[in-house]
Amino acid sequence: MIQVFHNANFRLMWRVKWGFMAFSALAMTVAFGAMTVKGFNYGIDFAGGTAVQIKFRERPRVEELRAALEAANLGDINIQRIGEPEDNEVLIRVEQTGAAPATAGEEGGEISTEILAALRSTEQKNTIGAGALDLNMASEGRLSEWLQSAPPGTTGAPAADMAALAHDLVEYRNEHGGLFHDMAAIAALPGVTPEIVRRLEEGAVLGDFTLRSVEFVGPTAGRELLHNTGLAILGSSLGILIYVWVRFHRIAWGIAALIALVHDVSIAAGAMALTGKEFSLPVVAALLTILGYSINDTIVVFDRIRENLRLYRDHDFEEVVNASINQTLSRSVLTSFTVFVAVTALFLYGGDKLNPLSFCLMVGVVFGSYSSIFVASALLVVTYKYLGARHVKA
Amino acid sequence: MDSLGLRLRLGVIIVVVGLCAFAAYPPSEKINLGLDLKGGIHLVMRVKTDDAVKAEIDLSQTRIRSALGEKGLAPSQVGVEDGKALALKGFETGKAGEARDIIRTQFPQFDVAMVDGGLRLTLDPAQESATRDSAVRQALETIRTRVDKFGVAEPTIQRQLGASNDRILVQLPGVEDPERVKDLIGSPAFLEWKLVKVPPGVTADRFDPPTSEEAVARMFPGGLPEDVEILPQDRTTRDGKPIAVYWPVTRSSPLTGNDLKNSRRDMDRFGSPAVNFLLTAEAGQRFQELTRQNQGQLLAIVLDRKVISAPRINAVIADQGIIEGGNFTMESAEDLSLKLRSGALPAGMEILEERTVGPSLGADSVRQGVVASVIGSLVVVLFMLIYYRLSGVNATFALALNLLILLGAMAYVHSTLTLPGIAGIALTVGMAVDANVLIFERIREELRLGRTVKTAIHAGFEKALSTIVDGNLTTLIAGIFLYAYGSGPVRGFAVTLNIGILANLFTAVFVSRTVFDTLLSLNPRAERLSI
Repeated sequence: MIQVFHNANFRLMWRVKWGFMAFSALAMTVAFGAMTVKGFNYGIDFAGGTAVQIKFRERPRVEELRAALEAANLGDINIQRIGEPEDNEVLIRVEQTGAAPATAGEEGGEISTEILAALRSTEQKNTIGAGALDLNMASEGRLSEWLQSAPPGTTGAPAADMAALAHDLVEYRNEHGGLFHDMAAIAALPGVTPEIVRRLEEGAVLGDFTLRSVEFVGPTAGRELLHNTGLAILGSSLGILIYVWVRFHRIAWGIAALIALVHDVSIAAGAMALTGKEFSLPVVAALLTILGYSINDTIVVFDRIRENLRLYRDHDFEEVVNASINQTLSRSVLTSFTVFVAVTALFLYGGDKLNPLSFCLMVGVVFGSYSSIFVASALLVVTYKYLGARHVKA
Repeated sequence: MDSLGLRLRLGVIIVVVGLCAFAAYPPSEKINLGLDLKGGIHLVMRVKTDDAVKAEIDLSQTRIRSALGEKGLAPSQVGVEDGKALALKGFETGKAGEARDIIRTQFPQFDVAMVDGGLRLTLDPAQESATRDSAVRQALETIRTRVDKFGVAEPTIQRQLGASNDRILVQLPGVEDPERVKDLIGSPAFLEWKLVKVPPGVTADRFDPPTSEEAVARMFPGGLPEDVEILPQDRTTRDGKPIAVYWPVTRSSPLTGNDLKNSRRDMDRFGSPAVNFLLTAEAGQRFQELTRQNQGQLLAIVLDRKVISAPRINAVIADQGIIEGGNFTMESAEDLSLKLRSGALPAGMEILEERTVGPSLGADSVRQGVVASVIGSLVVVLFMLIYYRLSGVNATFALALNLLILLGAMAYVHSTLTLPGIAGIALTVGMAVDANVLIFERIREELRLGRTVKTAIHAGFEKALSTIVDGNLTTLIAGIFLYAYGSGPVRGFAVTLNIGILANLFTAVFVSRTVFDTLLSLNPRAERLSI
């Protein structure tokens, strides 16, 4: 049998607890320091504005993009390469406050359209304006319509196959990041006849880029998101507080659990500020999940303490707490390990969008387990010392 | 739980497995993917209901003026103040009270107040909110029609309930052209025909619209006549720079988009894209009259307060014609005719929030999310098998069932799987084994104390139960608030997390126990447990 700890009997609640509590205090100070001094790297959800993610066919020259966008006079522009260099992807962000004078006072939902228009080369703008099909932006329906519009007998394939061909082409494009890199790639696909290739070369263009995503949050929506987020945090904190209070009767237990919660959530949030990872709505969801996870872990330890207090009435409070922690230690380590493994997999393989959320969870899980022992339980022992058994024992 | 027969419990498990498998199979069809995974456009729009209120007041303005005129009470000045009040000023002395009484009886939708010898009319609150409400409902209908004609499969177009009732949520899966769609559903497409009022001393043929409003006004000696307004037209200069020119046109519009019967994309005589239109029979007669009386004049075609073109009336036109010269592309001509066929929006629209995901990004997200979840689950399962040996198989079974229930429940309630939702599933996998770990560690403790396998299993489940319920309930509290106040993708996270927690309670407490009990019933005198 494999066991993390065989009959664990660490003396955690004696002098060594002060060291851990000092560490916790320090970690919280650093976290609050990072949040106030450095601040969060707010995503569009909270900062407002427009973010457009674009993938280019060829390596984008950021300086040229910037020049093109500045000429469009959209306000404060931030251009950032994202992903691997060979992905040719950029994220363009326009801040809300920098809205162009023409759109001042408006919400600013048109900025993404203006960004796309500004990025197109004049040459492509003209050919597409004249009715050419952009193969890197056209939807399946549009493509199918275009293919079917060929005069009968000129495609070298039955017209009925064109809808299926459009589907295959779009599927291929989606699997390759949303772009056809050259006509040769299209010509090599099954079902594409030389006639179709010729027709594409005449009447279609390979656009320089494809749109990966647009996020826009105007001031009105931003205010509402913030408001709702506040309500979610307030509501769940209150709900958990009431639950702990009802569950443990003694206010001291509730307060100890609550301090552990504040500890975990603030350290996880502090880690977000410190690393400059994007703070967006999913991160708030992660913080609330940490809230739930942390209280769950604390309850496991507290339940054991309460059970043991009834069993060993003649033992020292410290001893009972220490024994309870040791008894639940294997479980605490195992569970935080499995959750940690799951969120680490998300962090490593889940892609850019899930990265901030999973990072926040990783930090939260580790501290959530740690705090049940070294914050919540340690605080119980300390309170017992200063307030006496009457206030603490359940 | 012993009171429940083992067979009954096994039966319950089989039924649950069957129902969930039935509901969720095949997942690619039964599980509804969110726009962030499938690709598509998500827009929260606001109907500018102020526009509708203003239009209502504008409309009443002429009628009130003529009603008062009949009684010889016409005020010298009538104007709209801050978009929501109608100010009547300059009554003959002592006539204001009389005018007020007439308005009160004939136009009961207005509240009338005396201000400095004049009258100030505001829509009464009930009427105003009815106007706003009907504007939103009408906008909803129009957007539905437009999206329908554009041909989007499974669109979601609904009014958002909330503090302000002027929001419309538009979700269009699989649509890849956000610019086009935003214009298509967001522009009012209010079409008007207005005669151009050329200044005195200039013939219609020679009139060249100036590049500023002031210049237009200066052309009229004694200022702009009351029934004339100035509207802009976008043009490009020869070297391709955009400029605006301004036309003096009649305030009233003899014809509007409401008079259209049909509209299609067409070609003008040079082969450039244009839009043709067909008027209703009644409007056709009016148009005929109008063109007969105003031969040689310019007739401005105005779309959303911008002049598209102002052709010269050369012949009597009956019920059909063409809109050309608006720098149309094939696409924009197609879209304009679609909008004209669907009717105008009653008010301007404004985008408050947009989340568009290209299908390629959605496909990447699904791939990455699935890979990450599978890797995470495999490591967790492998670990449980190594650590708890045969009992790990039990835990793995519970975990698999948990995921099956999660998918089945999502299919049943038609909830949507989003990218954060995938994260919620991965997290559920990590947390689901927690209950099993709690129970197994307890059983191990009991075994160490020298209890028999049977007693140890019973005690393990019994003692771990309250802790498991506590822990899951607290996480559920956070999850419920996330669901209640979270928007879009975050709500998806809350859905998978909450269903996962509930499924977890069932699998860990009920299913794992039944598996142990079944094994015990097969071998009641087991002396060793692989745990």
